[in-house]
Amino acid sequence: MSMQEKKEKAMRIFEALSSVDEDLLVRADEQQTKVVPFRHATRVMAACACLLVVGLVSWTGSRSLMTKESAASDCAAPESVNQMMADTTADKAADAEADVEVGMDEVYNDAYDSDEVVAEEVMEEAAPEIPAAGVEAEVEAESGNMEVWDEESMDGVSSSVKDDAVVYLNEQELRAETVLGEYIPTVIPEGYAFESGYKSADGAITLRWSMGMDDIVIGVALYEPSEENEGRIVDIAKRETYDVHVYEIPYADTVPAEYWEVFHTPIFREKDFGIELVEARMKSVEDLGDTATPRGNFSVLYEEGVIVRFDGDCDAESVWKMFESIGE
Amino acid sequence: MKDTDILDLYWQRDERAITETQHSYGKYCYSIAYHILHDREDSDECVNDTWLRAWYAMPPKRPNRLSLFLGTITRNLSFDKWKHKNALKRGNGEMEVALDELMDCIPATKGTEEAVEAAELERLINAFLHTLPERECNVFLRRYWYVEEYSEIAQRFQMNLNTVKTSLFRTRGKLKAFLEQEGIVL
Repeated sequence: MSMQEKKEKAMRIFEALSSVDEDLLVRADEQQTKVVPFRHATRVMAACACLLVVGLVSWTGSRSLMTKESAASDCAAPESVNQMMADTTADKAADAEADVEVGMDEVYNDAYDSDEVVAEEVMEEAAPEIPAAGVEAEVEAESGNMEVWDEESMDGVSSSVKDDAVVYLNEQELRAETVLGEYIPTVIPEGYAFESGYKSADGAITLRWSMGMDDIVIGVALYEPSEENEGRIVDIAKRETYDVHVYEIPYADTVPAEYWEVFHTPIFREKDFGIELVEARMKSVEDLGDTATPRGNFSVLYEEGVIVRFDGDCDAESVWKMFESIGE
Repeated sequence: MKDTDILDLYWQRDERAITETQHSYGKYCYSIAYHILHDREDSDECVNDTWLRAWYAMPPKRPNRLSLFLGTITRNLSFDKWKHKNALKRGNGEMEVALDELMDCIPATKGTEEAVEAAELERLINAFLHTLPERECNVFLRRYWYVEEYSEIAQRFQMNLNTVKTSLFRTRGKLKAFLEQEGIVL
């Protein structure tokens, strides 16, 4: 097959993608760019300023008390504080740079707005080298932009972006979250390492562990009793609404439309939940280039009104042990 | 203005519909066009053509999600324009790279079967996407629907760059296997 023929076939696939189901596109759109909100940037700045003040106070205090003989050796302390500050500043520079990259969508938006700046130029300007010395000003300027973006640029484009600002936290910090942190499983299947986690603006927390090409995602949130969510709560007597082994893949062809919502995102009540339900949701699929690890998803609604979502690749028994460990 | 209000304007044949659409979805559609075309003028043209197509399509259409309806029109128009300018030569840009990657999905042919109809291919690809884990599907669509760069996808979903590449590689392999299993000839 010639390269031209291959290209034409690839174009057919590209064109066929134009008719992708709306729900898939909506889902792909929902996980929008994560932007650290202005208030969090200011918190970092405030923390740095406090460190600087404490460092200076202790340094000047020790200077006034120390003798000429001891002065040389004691000077190491302020230097280390300065070094720490420099490190923090460098980290902030890296973060700021990353945030600039995060804002590529906004760059396109800006390019669209501006009649004087061509998009290519804007893109190049989007990732400037930020000198460490000017980071605070840069962060401030960027935060300013963020506010403008929040207020103006997102009109009607996707309000979910506006509400989707998140704070990235490590596993320990997420576990320390009041209420929701207690619903993070304490037992994680062997071999899986924490990869990332964040807290959304609405307080929900999400954690991801991975092992090679296999992932485990746990989301913890307060349950919102909307009509849509209520419809996803499973009546375990109706196996056909949640058991992935009942249907052949592709599910689009085999799962009845009336079960579509609950089948793809089922919620089990805590009182019903057991390993047999986990097994009903985990299925190993033979895919070229993929691992044979069972994959699946479901949520568990706890009586306290907290919902824990699982989405990932793992054997059912290990997943069950994860859920068993919640609250231990 | 809410989508339903904009749709009402279209149905009332009120030309403010276009102004309001541009206000609400101009940036979104421009972003889609620019990812494919990497050319400001061409992207502007496609966005403007999108408003025109939308004007003629509504009524009778009344899309559930106006953003996706408009985005799909923009994507199609942009791809047509890209083909017109680039299909016969090797060009630069993300679109070319994305198409090169999609060549991995072409199923092997065994005989002289007839090529699958476009509608059937669309149905099968849809069915295939529904079998994918959520994140994998999202990454695939960001790459081959929105033609976003790896780095953008990595940022969007907070993934490592290599994880994005691995995920896409894996999904392309799956799609190829799926199409072969269905006996599809492109």
